[in-house]
This record gives sequence, C-alpha cells and structure tokens, in this order.
Amino acid sequence: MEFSKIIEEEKDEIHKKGILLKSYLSEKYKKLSKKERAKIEEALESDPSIVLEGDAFKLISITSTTEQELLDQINSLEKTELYQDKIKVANVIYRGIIIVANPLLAVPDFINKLYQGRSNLITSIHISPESTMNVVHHLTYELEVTEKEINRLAFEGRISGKEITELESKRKFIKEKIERLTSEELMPFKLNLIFAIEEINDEDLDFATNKILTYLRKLGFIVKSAINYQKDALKTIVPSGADFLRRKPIIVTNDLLSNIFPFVKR
Amino acid sequence: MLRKKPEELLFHVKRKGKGEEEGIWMLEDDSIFAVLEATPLPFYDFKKTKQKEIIDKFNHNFFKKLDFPVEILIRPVNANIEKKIAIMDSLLSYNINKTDRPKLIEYYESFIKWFKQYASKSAKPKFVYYVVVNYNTYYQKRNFEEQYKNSINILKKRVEFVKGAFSSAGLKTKQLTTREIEKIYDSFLRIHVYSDGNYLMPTDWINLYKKGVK
Repeated sequence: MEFSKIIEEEKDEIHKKGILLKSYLSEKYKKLSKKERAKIEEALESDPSIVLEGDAFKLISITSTTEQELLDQINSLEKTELYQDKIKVANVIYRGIIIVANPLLAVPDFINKLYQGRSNLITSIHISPESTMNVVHHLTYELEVTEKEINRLAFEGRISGKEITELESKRKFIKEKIERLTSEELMPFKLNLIFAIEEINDEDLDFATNKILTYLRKLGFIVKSAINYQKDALKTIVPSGADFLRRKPIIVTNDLLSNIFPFVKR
Repeated sequence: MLRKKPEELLFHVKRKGKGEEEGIWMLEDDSIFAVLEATPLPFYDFKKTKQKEIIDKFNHNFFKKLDFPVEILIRPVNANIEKKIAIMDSLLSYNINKTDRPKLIEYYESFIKWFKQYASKSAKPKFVYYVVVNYNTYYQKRNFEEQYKNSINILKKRVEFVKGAFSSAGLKTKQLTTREIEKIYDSFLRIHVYSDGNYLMPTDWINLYKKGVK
C-alpha cells in the first residue's frame, strides 16, 4: 500500500473541504495493521496541519485569540522594501547579480566551485535551444573576419608573433566548432545566468556581493549587480521559467553545459 | 525605496482554478509550466570515471535531445537560520511586550522557546534543486479548451522526458504538486523555515507547536 499516496489524497480532501472527515477517513485507517498505522502516524508527525485523534484525522486551525494575535504579530514583520540594489522581503535581503557576458564559459564546474563554503547563494540557469544554422552563420562571419585579419597581418609582413598566434588558434577553434555543429556532434543553446545573494543585514550582503563578484570576474565573467532591476531579478529567479531581465544570452554548446553539472550534494 | 505588498512582487504567476491539471501553473502570457525537484548526487564522493559517466549520460540523454527551454534553480534553505530567528525574536519580543497583554506574552515566551528548539533540530541548512519545464503557445480564441488540453499534453511529455533523462544520469526527480509550488512562491516572500521537504510558514509553526511536535 502506498502510504504517502493515501496521506496525500486524504490531506487534499481535508484541505479542500476544511472539515472533519471522521467516518470517511477512519474506515480506511481502522483497517490498517498496527505497523501500517504507525507509519501513517509517523508521516503525520511533521505535518503542521493535520492531527490524528483516535481513528479520526482532524484539520488543525488557528482557534484561539492568542494564537491569532501571535500570528498577526509575526505577519506584521513581513514587509517588503524595494531598493535600487536590493529587496528586503520579510527577514531576508536579496541582491540579484547578472552575468552580462562570458567569452566561452571555459571553466567547467564553475558553479560547484562557486558554492564552496557558501550557503547564501541562489543560482538560476535559464537554458533554451538555439538554431544551429544561426550559430553556424554567426561563426562563419567570425571566421571570415578572423581570416581577413590574418591576411592583413600577412600582407604587412607580420607572419609570426603573439597577435598572429592568437588569431590562428581562434581560427582553428571556430573551424572546429563549425564542423562539430554542422555534423550535429554539438548542439547550441542560449544561456542566461542569474545569481542572487540572500543575507540578513546590509553589511553581510555587501561583503558577500564583493566576494562573489570578485570570484566571477576572476573566472572571466563580466558581471554586475542588477541595479534598478532587482524586482525583475527576483521574478526571474523564482521557479517559473520566465526571464524578466531579457538580456542578450550567452551562446554555449551542450558539451560545456553538461560540464556545469549542478546537482551536487553540498 | 518602494514599499510593496509581498504578493505584488510575483504577480506574474497565477494559480489555475479548480479542476485544472494538478501541478501545472500558468504565467501571465498564458504559458504553462511544471516544477520538478531533483535529489542531488554525492558527486564528489564518486570516482573520476563514475563522474565522467554521469556527465556523459547527462549530456547525451538530456542536452543532446533537449528541444525546449528549462530553468534550473539551486536554492539554499535555512541559511543563517539561527540569526534569522534571533532577529525575529527580538522584534517580536519588543512588539509583544508593548501590547501589555499577559496572556499573549506568556504564550509567546513558551512558543519561541519551543520554536528555537524545533528549528535547531529540524531546520538544517541545505540546498534544494528545482527544474522548471515550460510550454508556451499562442491560443486562438476559438476552441481554447481543446488547445489548452493539447498544451497540457505537450508539457506532460516534456516532464516525462526530463524525468527519464535525469534518471539515466542517476538523478531522482519528483514533480511538485500545485500546493507545493505555491509554498515555494510563498517562501520567497514570507518568513519561513524548511523542514522535512516542506516550507513551513508562521501558521504551520503555531500548528506544530499546538500539536506538541518536538
């Protein structure tokens, strides 16, 4: 028997009707063995809304004036204040940080490295497929520009040196990407990354922001606080899939994305 | 500084009415989405070969076949929980003592003592992982119901794809219910603690206290 399923179904019923479903529930409960009952009781232990009295499941609600007064007092602390560079919500301050650009996302595993020793960082990764044709078209243009530059330098007689080496490795990199994209070995994606720092006071928030910005910049990211866009940053972070910041995305390929495997027990 | 009601911050999400699909929410632009919670792996405890195998499977079965947008969210819960409760306690103690209501003062003293003990035992800092799956289309006015039903079916297929792809890399996922998603939104706007997979709000604390949960 699926205990969790029974409990979930019954809890939904109780919540929907908001009443005591004594006979309905007790019949099912009565038929269970002692061991099975113990499991149900254990599962209900941590549920704040339901209590088991005898064979009946009862919906708990705020009943006394004192309880309601306490609840009102707690709720009165839940003010929201929106600033240019942060949002204070209830007892927490959020600050959104946006990635403006990253050359190649060349640091695999950077998200996991970012989390080392940090317990106050929210990361939202928005990924959507991009057309291979668009990316190849763009890379082909980049390749042409790079080759023109190489030819120009060659015409000027500069056939060695740092500049030409860099351009040649760029040409090689782009060519390889185009080949792997056209053979469908690589898939292109649009990526938008948003971070939010969660702190309890302004001093800790500023300290944490500086540390994270410094770290990300060291990795080659161009980052900034979402000044004037804190509300949009928070709306983008909450799980709905929508991106309210509407920034130009970073184009990445699947091999790089899978290397930022974030589902790591911390 | 602009003061707002907490709900005004997240006005873009709306709950579908009764009779709608469980676990599916709608945005203002009528796109629909579902949320999965993923159980993380003890990745760094694995050998390098196993780590590579996971990443390869994730790449091959998820990214190489992904043809719709997703959002992955890593969220810390119960960070600085003791400090948060201490701040809340000092504000509440001050406000409640000002009321000069002995019954409330007495109730609060007992409640907060219980709550601190409960939180230190049951609200440990950790990270939770969500994956949001969307479907967006333009609805014509005629045959809305039919089109909506079709959208739901597409979204469900996408959810199944994500579940399967994650499972192939050893990641367990669970689709969240409508109520669980609602609780996540509440938790971004309200004082809460996270315990045993649930976001607990002040009403829940008082109920647990009444219930005598240790």
